Amino acid sequence: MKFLTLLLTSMLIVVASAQMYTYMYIQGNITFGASKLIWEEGPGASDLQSFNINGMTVSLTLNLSGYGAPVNFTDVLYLTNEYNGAVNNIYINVTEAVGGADFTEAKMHIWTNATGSWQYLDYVNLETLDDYYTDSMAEANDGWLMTFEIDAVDDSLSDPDFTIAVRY
Amino acid sequence: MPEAILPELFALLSIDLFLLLSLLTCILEERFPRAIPYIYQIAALIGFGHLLVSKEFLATFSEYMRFWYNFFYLIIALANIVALNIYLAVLKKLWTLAKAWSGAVSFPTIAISVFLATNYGYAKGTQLPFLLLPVGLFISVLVIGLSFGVLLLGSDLLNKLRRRR
Repeated sequence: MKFLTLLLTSMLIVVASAQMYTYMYIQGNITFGASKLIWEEGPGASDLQSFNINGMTVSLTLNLSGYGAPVNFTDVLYLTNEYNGAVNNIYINVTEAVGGADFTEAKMHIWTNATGSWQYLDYVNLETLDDYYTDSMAEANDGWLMTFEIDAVDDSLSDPDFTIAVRY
Repeated sequence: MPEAILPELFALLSIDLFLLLSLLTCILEERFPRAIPYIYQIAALIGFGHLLVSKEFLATFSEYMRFWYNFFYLIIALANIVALNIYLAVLKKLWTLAKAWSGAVSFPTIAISVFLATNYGYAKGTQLPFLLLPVGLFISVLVIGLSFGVLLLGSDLLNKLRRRR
């Protein structure tokens, strides 16, 4: 009886300890899966001088026909949630800014269709390095629309580049 | 390449050793104090607490520290095995049982422990290069020496000592 009691408690201790060890033995690896967010070309993209989506990178050229008044590039680009759930902590920031003296306005506006119609969220200023917008995208098939508003001071620009990074 | 073993394996092995000691001392209860099996059960439970602490502070404690407190616990378990071996041989003068204990419990458990410790030291060679090989070799030599001593010469030595007295 004494032996059986000790045997039983021993088995309980061994099983609990082994489970604890297994819990600690986390074998991690890194694999590439489907992206939660994808870029999609908007109908307004065809009005641009060039537009290309290559994986997670979008290259576009906004052509201005004049200066002194804002030019809006609407329905250019969508960032769509392909994940079956919310995507949290999406962080959009300007990693390469255009020269502030060249533009009166250089903004990328962000809209959401979380409620079924497009609602304005915010903008990032393309003239300000590290200007950012951060938010969560609620659910699958939710998406954000990116539009651009550019107002050049004059037409003597040397095709300034800007880069915007999206992280999540 | 996945990590070979965690330092907590030493604690897990020690828990098993304490439980083994508990069951063996229970089977041989007339040769050991009655409380010994329960004390070893408590020692095993302390090891379980050890693992709980390791799990909770996994991110806080460095692997070096985790290795040391787990290895120390293993050393205590092995010391208990050797101590019981000596207790049977010297205090109880049960030579046959001491030989059997040495061959069936002391030597295999210490050999397995040395193997695992050396393997761990080899896998983590950059962090623990200075300790494990000398300690492993020392324990191996000590255990082999003790085992051969007990197995081959123990009863003869005891008889000679008795004759001298």
